[in-house]
Amino acid sequence: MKKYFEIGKINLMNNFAYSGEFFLKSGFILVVLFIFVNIWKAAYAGKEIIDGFTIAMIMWYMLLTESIVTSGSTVIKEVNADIQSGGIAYQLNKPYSYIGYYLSKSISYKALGCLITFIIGSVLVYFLVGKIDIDILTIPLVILTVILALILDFFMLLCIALVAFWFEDTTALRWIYDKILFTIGGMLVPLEIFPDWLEKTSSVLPFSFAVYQPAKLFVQFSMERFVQVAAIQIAYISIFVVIAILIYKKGIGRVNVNGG
Amino acid sequence: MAVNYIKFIWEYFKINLQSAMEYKANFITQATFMILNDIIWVIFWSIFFAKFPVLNEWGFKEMMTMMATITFSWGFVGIFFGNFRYLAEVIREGQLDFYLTLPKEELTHILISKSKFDAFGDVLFGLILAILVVPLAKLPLFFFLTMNSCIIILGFAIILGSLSFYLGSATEAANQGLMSTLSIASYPFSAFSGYTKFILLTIIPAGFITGIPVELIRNFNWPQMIWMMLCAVTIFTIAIKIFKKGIKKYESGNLINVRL
Repeated sequence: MKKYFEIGKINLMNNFAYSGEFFLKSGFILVVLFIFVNIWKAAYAGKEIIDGFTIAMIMWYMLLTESIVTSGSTVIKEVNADIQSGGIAYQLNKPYSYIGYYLSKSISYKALGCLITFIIGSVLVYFLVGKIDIDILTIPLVILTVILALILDFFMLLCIALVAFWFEDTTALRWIYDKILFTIGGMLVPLEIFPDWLEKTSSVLPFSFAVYQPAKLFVQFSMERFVQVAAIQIAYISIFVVIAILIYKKGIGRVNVNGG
Repeated sequence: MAVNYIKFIWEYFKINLQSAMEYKANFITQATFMILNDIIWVIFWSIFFAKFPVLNEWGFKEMMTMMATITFSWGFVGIFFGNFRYLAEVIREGQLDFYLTLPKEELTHILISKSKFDAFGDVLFGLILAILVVPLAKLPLFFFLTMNSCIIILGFAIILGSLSFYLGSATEAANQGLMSTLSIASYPFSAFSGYTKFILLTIIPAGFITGIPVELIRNFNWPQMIWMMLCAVTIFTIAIKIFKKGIKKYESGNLINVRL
């Protein structure tokens, strides 16, 4: 366990050295938030509340969903490169698990990206729509669901990345995955905006537990809901860990090592 | 002279297409997934506009015209001038040396030396969507307006990419600037008003890429049309000037590149 913690720490320090990139990325998020403030103002057209959300709640909700989704991960790019170049063969005799290595690396990167985006974005959102009522004691619990969401997102991405054993380049699959998070994952709009059938379906899918559920807890917290969300997140993470291990084991059998 | 340029662009396009056909599976996958990606947006906006039918005079039909405009123009630039997003990188990494030693005009040569596979999907999607949502009699106007949008996208990309001449490295800034502009141009322009609208029609020309073309297709008027054409000519002229001035500052890194 300690070695994975160290991998995460080293990557976190590396990422701090290039923190300018995070700030630039955050600049892009600010543009998207600004666009949506305008869109929501036009959509609300003077109404106070729509589907239980005020404009302020929707924007704080969106700040968290954006921070989670755009926290970024290079896992697809790196795993694709490992598989395409055959570099994955050299990882086999390393004293750590391939999946564990990328988990530590990705989570430290995603957590830092998420935090920086949220801090910078909160200044803009506060300036544009003001604050919302949040019980400060619920924040650690929301943070826990955000961390679980980042882990769940990582494992879903890893499953896509490992498909590269068969398809070589899975970048195109990533576009679709991103759009799923944007839409039925709840990044752009809360699921309440959808028709009933779609809301019900989307809210039980893993994508909403990586985006919508933690953000909804942030703006409308309830202890009962927290317990339910965290439990389902852990269940989904376990499922995707098993899927990732199975794909990895099946895929690694296809690797041929020809000297070196 | 213009004929020579068109011939040169066409010949390069044919070479790029041949190279794409060498990786047929990859080409088809990327183009197909881009179409799928665009279809997800159509579904999202159909749900959004079902909930909020009118957004400051814009409905679902205007939104679809906007999608047809952005996918067709962005895709068109990606097919014929595929390096437009990587100009800053080409300059920063000293790859300019290669183009400077050849008799053809260097900026055109850089831009056309790459063709994006996914862009074919965008163009096909934009074309089909335009046929579905733009009245037949207005299709020639649609194509004329998208060509203007292409010039604006290309000009803005050259301006951002050329920042590398002046800042040393502007890769990330250029990319974020371009993607932010694309984002703004992909959301309903009617949501913006006041100062924001003014900025989107001046400093960041996102409004001229999609917003104004949609307005013109909906309700044609000469003043807006002339503004749009003036904008395209001005941005492109400024872009060429900035690039040509920047190239005088360029110092070779003596990098030896092998182009296969």
